Amino acid sequence: MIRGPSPALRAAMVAVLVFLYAPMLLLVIYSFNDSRLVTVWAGFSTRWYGELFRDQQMMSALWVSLRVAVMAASAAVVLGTLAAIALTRLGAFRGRSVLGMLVTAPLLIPEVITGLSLLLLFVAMGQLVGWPAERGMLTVWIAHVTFATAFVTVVVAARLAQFDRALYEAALDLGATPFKAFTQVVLPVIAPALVAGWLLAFTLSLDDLVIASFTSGPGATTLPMVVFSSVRLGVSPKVNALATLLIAFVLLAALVSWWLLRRRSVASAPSSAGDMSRR
Amino acid sequence: MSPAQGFLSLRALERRFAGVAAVAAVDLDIHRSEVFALLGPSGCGKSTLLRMLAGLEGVDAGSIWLDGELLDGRPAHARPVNMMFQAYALFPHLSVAENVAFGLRQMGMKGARARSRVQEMLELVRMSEHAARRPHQLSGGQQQRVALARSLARAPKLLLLDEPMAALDRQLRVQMQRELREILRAIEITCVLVTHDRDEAMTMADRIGLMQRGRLVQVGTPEEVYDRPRTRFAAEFLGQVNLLQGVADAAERICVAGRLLPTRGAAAGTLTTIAVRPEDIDLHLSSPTHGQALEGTVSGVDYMGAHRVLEVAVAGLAPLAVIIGGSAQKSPPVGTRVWLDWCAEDAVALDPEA
Amino acid sequence: MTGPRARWPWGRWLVIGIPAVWLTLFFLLPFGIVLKISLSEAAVAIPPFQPWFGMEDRWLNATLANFRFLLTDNLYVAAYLSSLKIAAISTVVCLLLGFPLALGIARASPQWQAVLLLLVIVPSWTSFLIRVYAWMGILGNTGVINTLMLGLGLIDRPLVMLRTDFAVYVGIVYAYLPFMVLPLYATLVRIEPALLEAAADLGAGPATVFLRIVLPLAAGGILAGCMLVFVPALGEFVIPELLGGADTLMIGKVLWQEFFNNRAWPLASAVAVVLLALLLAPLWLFHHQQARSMGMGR
Repeated sequence: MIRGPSPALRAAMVAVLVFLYAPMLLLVIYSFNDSRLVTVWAGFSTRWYGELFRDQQMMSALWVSLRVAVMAASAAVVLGTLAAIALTRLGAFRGRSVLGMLVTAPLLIPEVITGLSLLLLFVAMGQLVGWPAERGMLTVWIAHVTFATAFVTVVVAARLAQFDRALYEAALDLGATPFKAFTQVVLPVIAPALVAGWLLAFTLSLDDLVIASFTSGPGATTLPMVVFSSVRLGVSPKVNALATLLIAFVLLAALVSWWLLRRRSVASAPSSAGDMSRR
Repeated sequence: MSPAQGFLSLRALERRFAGVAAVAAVDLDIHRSEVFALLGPSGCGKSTLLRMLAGLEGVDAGSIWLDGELLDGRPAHARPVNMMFQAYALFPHLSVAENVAFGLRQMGMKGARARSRVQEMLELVRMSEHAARRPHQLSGGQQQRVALARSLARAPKLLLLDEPMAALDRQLRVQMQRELREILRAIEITCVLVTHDRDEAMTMADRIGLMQRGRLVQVGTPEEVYDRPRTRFAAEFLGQVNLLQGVADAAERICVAGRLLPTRGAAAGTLTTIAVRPEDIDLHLSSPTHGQALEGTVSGVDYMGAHRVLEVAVAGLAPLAVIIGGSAQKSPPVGTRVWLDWCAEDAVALDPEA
Repeated sequence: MTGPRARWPWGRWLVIGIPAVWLTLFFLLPFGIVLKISLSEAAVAIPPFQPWFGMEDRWLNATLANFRFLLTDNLYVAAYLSSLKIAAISTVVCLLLGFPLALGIARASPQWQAVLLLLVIVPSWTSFLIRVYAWMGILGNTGVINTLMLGLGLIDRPLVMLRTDFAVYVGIVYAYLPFMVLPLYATLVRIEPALLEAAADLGAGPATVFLRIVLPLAAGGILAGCMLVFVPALGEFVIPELLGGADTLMIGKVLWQEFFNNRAWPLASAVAVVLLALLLAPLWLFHHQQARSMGMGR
């Protein structure tokens, strides 16, 4: 039977998890420190949160980032899903392996290269065809869609590879056209993967500093760009407050997803005998 | 004009994969309201043929006629044909009722009419009280009933069943076979089912089409196919059989191990193989008066509950299997000297195989 | 197995064509431009390089001067070598820390596996930038570690940790550890416990079981995890910029400085081309692994 981890292994696991979480815990603690100096505890205070919300530059950068992230994630889900279908469900076609390479390569190309190459493209296009005339939210959006599509494709393709083709055929057999079979059966069944892909693309876009720095222009400063320029010179209490809010948000999301996972596994448990008959 | 004779007619159907014929030269006529089983080992092309009927598999040559209409080139969603898939392929994101309504919605049937049709179908398979459940909350047998209701909802002219019992365990299988057969008879639907299980084919079907390497090798009622197999493959696939070789004479007798034994359909003067089912062999404890019986020794007894299978060693032949009743006849112990013979009807001369 | 072709062949080509065109335009084409500009001469202009196609005597203004400069100037060679070293050492440290964690998760009960996996993934959902930044407050001269050790009297002067290579290692290991743990876990959890019991039953001690059974079976996950750490670490910019010192040489940082500080676009392009060339082998390996996991082999 499955053996649990040995005591030594348990100790190692705890140590590594402490290593993962201690820095974030410290950020949370600092964010409530009244002092500007990080390590001098000057009492509990929420003043940095107030300053964060009054910081016009940060707030407008947050707004830019959120808009770019939502639009980039939505477009990446469409492109990534199409690419995943092309790679897993359409059988052989010429250029399939090239498309596979094009789709997976952005996963591993260093961001500095992706950013640089896209900027050079935008400059070249601006010179040759006059579009884009200047860099801004649109160019950041294009850049984010391009690299987030790769991640969405991987997530959706993994789900599609397990998709039971008989479900699609059953829909055709019951009178659905291929388009309706796709929208009424395939899409709803793989919807969790689409949501996961969207969230992944959203966080990638929201978090990106390097590619945005290359492809952005005046008036389209994203939140990571503002944060980066303020922490470059040293620790900033306002960033601690921002980090705490982000961590709180992510923990909430993690709790919700854990709860959903648990609920689903509880719901499907009684039918495990019937599951044997399913593929 | 349609050359069709049956309600469903297949003419010279062919399907190739990478140059290899998966289905070849299939001609078949199926009557209205008939339940027809395509039987064969895995890889014989029966599932491919079924999918060709559904429109899920392409056709390389030949034609399919259904109720006087040519189906060639019609995509799956435009055929009056519905299929019950092997693992049922119930849509996991829809409830039982929504699964059954799916095909109706594609026809544009909505509202009260659709609801009453769904209700009617669920009553037919006795699943009304589970209408709101999701497929994963159902047992295997319940899933099968929902799949059946879903494929019947559109009132197809032809129902296809792909290995209908494969996903069920053995005990449930017998019960579901009977239920399914009763429903099919009750609604008088034309049905083609695919199976590799001879018992399933014989209990469910009016006629059986036996397939081997993409071809239909024999078509007939279960009795015909079982009692009068045409080839060695057919004889062996339908059940346990004894195969004996010998030269036939003009009086429909065949010479085996020096004895002249009755047979049927053998051409005089040719080397012929005959097939005799173990339950058709008569076992004698003394030599019959006519003297033309195989003489051997019981070399093994397998007790099977309702009957016994004896293994009889006959000099010059492979051991023969003989089935005798369980309690009515006391089984002779190993080592007993016995004589075997049979009636002419029960010894079928087989075609030499291609 | 394919059904009769759907009645909308254009649908099929749209599905393939839309992502293909997008990626060709915004991913493949840009690399061609990078290559082109890496072969151009720098100029005081906007944009800061010679026009593409020679207006004067030459048809194509191509020069290998940028690459020659990269190879002769010690800074660049040193930066490539130092990046390789930092990425390699960080990868090994990630493996050493990540393996016990992944093994422990794989051996936990199913309920605990879900919780522990979530604990490993959650940090990567928060901002990368913020997680790197967190170490500035820990490693600084007035940071948590120094304050604590000074207070306990273990040291009498702050240890210089921030703005050193050490801080860069800490940052990379911290930021990329989840990417090592996840693929390791995915292969370790698939090892049948019965295999280990069979090995033990056949007389193998725990060390032998680990070396002869567990490690070979986990090889795929080890390779995937190492590549997911090594490749991005090689081109890392944020970590050396925030945690490293002025003397920390990493190629991502060099590229950034050439581009933004010196406005040497052709040289920055040449740096990128060489970095990409270094990555070709691992990218190829990774692509094949991805292709297999997508079931493209079928």
